[in-house]
Amino acid sequence: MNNIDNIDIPILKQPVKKDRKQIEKSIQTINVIVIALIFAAISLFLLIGKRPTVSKTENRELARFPSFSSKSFFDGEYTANIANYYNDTVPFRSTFKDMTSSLRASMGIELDGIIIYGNVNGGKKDAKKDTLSAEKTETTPPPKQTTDETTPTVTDVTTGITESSPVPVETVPVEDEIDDIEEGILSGGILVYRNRGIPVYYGSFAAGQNYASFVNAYKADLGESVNVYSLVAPTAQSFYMPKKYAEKYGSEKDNLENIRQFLNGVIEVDAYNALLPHKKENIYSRTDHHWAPLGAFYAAQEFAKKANVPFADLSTYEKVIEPGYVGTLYGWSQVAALKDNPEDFIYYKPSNQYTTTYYDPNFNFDHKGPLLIKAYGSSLYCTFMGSDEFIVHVNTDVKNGRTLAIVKDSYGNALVPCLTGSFENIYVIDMRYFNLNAINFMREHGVTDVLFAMNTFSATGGNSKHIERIRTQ
Amino acid sequence: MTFSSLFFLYFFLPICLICYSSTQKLEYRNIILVIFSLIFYAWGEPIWVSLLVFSAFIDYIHGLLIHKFRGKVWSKIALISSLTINLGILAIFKYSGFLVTNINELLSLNLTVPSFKLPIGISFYTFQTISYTIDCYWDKVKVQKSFLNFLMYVSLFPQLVAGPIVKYSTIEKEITSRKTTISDLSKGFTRVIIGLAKKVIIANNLSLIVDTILGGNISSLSYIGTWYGAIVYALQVYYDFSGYSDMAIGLGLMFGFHFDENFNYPFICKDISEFWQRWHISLGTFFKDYLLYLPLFGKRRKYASLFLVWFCTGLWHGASWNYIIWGLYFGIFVFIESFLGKKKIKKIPMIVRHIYSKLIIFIGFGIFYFENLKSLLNFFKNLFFINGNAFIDDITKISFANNIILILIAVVFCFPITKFIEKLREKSTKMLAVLDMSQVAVNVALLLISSIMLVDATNNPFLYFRF
Repeated sequence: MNNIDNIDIPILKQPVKKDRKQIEKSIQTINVIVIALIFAAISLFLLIGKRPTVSKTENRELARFPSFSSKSFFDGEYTANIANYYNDTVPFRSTFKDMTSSLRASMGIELDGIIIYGNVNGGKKDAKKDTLSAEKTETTPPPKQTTDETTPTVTDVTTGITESSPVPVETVPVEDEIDDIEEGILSGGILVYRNRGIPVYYGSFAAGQNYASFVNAYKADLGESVNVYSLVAPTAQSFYMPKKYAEKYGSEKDNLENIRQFLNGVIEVDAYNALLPHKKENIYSRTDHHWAPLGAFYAAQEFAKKANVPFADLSTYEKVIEPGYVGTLYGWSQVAALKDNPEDFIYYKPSNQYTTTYYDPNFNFDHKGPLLIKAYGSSLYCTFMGSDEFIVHVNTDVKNGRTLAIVKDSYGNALVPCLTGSFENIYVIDMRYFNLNAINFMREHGVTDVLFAMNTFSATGGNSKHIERIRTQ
Repeated sequence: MTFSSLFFLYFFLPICLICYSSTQKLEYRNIILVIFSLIFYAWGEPIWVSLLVFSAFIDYIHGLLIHKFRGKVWSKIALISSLTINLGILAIFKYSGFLVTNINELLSLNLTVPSFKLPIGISFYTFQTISYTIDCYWDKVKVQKSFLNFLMYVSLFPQLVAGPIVKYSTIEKEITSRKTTISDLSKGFTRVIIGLAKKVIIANNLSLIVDTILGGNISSLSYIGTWYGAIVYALQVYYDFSGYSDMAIGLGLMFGFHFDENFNYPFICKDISEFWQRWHISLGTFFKDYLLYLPLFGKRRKYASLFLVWFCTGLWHGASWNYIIWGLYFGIFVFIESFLGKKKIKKIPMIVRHIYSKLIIFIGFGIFYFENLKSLLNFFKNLFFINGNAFIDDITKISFANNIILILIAVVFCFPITKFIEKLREKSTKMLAVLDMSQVAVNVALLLISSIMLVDATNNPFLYFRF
């Protein structure tokens, strides 16, 4: 037996070892072939697939292939931008992003119906949120009215009260604590609550004071013949953030109140209180960072009251419903709950007669066209004038001699169709793109009313610096 | 260029592999690797690629000099010259700003603070070239007479910008004699995909949690929130850095190089000394080989050289006090453990040792995260429940719920699962076939998921790129 054992064992063991090695090698070969084929297929797909140029869901242009210069080459920008172009413009990008959002959604569960994206715990490391406590209110009194003869006086056309308008105080330089929401970047995060995206707001009283001083300067420059209004629109956070979370973040209401204290000669349009009674209506988009056209309508109504101009009733408008709307908040956060619960985009066409002319940022004629254009997909908010870059002139059938200039961010776009029955001429200026001197422009076009219309992120964030830029450039 | 980008994976790498496999001659293959490595580096550093080549040339020359004058005083001079130049370059580019800032503060001076842009990977390749000249001096490796071959060692793109720090002795023979077997290629592909998945699927998504929790206002963060943020950050750094190392080792295998492991399941350690034997092994080995046993402080002063090592470990990670504190922080615990001795430590119950080591590690990564000392102080106050903040906050609860599966996966794969699978493979031929085929399927799934997720990660550099 021993002999047999001694003979058998090596004979039996060797095939097993060989077998194992053979199997191992075969599977390794399969692994290499399969993975190499996938690499080859994806490489080819990325090489020959049609690359998109715009991401509608993110509301931004995708990276472009860079143009060569020796400077950009030597500082590494050129090569970095080639890689960036390659990575950013993947064929079927939005499909893959949707897949990613579904994958991310499967990494956990919702708690309290809430999903958070990005930094919702504070704008900056160790940044303080500004809120109005009783103490704070006492220590920041409204600016004193001056009786200095050198300061111009203005009369509020609505109230008839004459106020002094001092030369604007020196602005308080502040770091941009809130990144520019309009350019698709949120320094804070997005909190998704019951299928509604809510960008988290962190206010800055210092930035609010800056904003007030910027618009005060317009009043001082334009004099008493021109009415200047400030309409700072709250965002969805003011109305839809669950209370226990809202307490953690900046209060838009407090920040609006702070701005009000520093306005001088400028008439405040209180959009917050105009919208509050309507919070159960469709005044804010669930999936987009903008307000809904109906929200803009109520704010415009408040403005018309302050400006003492006629205002068309909502029943006179033609209601248009665009279903299946998923806006920017999905593109930015990739939270699948937003994509999976689209909403209706409802806007209103004014019934009076008007013509709309589009100019480039240097006020060179571009084209005549409709005020409300046909928009699609995630860009439905672009229904209002298409994009922000144009200077738009709306000439209406209203003959009241009033000419309005709206200095705005994209929130202001939705106000324009609500005011075609209120002013004879409307000039729409986006402060971020305007290339001329705003004061000269307003004087040249006989502007009687200037409305600053933007959201709280812009007014107390980086965008407000453009208000001063276009006044002084 | 980063490994975890579509451009690298599906443009640069395939072209490189095609060119590499178009010839069987090793000399040509080495030339191809040098060309692609220099393109890889120049892609991010078009100017400082010259510094890389210069650094390689200096050490190549010094290697020749050390060899030529072996046993003579000139050999030592050549070594000192090489070390001075290498460390001088590192000091100028990485530490001059930090040094002048501190001198200004200490002596109330107003010297101009130099502000050099840190060339990518300088900390890694400088240490590699140092390892060569010292080993040459110690006659542990043969002098490399071909500059092309030496340049290939220094610039080899798989390990160039974020390690592991590959000692010359590790790949000395493979520079001139290597072949890529089907087994290497298969293991290489698998390793690259696992590394990619660690980075893209786990680390990138953990970074979103860290941003949510620690990226905000730390002074008002709850106690549990702070602990949660610190733990997730430790996991993120582990998956990020070990993912890169996996990709580097895998790419090396594809070209026939066998680099040493850089991580060995660090979170299963029972004490801090063990943690550092499992974490960034190549850096620890470098210091152990070239610094710890230098007769700098004499035999009786081993603790002084131990603190020097930990000071250097911290400083190597960055020119900032928080990194130095971070290094010394770990040094203190290694010192205590060394002082107590292994026998006494082993008597401590296992569970206590695990809790102790994890606490020290997670707090340590907090130090690593906060470059601002004020934020770091607030972080400590929160950790030790003395900030007067809430015990737990809603954002922490929501974040945990939103990411519970991801966190579970991240925790589970900190354990040596693959070693368990390896044992299973040994049990029978059938098991081997099933498990290896499953690995192929897992590779396909991970590669596809990672690639899809990369579309949404336009900018996701590895954390260790900044060192």
